[in-house]
Amino acid sequence: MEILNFPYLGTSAEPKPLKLKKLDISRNRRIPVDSLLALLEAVGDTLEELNLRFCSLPFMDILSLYLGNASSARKPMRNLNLDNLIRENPSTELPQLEKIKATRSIPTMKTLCLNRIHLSVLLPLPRSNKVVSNISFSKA
Amino acid sequence: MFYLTTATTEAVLRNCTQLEDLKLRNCDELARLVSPASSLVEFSSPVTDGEKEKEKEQEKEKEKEKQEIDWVSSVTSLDVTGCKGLQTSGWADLFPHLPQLRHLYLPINVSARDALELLPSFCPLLETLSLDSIPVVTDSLIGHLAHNLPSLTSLSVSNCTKLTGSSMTYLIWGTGNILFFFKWKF
Repeated sequence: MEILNFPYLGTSAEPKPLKLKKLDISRNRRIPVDSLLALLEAVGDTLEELNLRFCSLPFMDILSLYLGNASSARKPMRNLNLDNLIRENPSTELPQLEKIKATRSIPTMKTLCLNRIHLSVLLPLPRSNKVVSNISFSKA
Repeated sequence: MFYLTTATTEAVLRNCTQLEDLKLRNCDELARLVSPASSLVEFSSPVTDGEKEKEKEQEKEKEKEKQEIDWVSSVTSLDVTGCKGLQTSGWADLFPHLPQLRHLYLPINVSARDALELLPSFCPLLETLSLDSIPVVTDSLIGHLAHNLPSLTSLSVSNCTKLTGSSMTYLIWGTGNILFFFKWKF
């Protein structure tokens, strides 16, 4: 177990997450969604850009967190790249997506990349928000 | 077609004493950026009076070599992505001369994990770090960097296939004591 080789003892018993503004973990398929979501919660609103291209993650868990859900006070990220995200449960996405569309706007998002996501129902979501300046779609 | 070689690079950069932003992407012919550290090792104490002159000459040469690589000390941003010819051994020689470095983009062929572990010691001000596709990047290395680079705001580890969820945990704990976390968890 790799943790046994971790030799660094900090002085604090509390997490002191890095103030990450930009994180690119694309093409990493061994990072589970719960670990990623825990990091996103810890980092909070400081994270402005997240690249998850070709990651193997539940699409809606990621999208709902950052396009928002009713209970989240989080500001959406300015740049979110979900190109080629490998989705696990596409059959459950439509009802969740409808809920998101009804409850949330994305006022500060600048770039949303959803190329080759295989989800045509996504189209009305960003198009309905005129603030998003750069949205890229393409067919699979 | 013009290819940037090590000799050309050294010749040009030695005159750039105030250089801050250096981008050398995809310079395949580039083997190193600074002279090997072995040539900069201080000479030991003199043995006899007759050797003192030689000693002084050698010291002058060493000093001259040091001055020749001083150009890197002002660099705050270094992008060498795609420089496949850069020698692995060169990183340990380079990092000590980059105390002001804030943005670093490394190529895929960095195979010396030891050199990456030295980064926080020599470049403590790092804010941006790109380790894309470097095979020696592991969870514990991310933990080491997260723990020792408190100014890090941008991290790119695309296609680092050894990474797992543990690396996310290390980023969460940052400079905190992660052993408390594992003690609590298990």
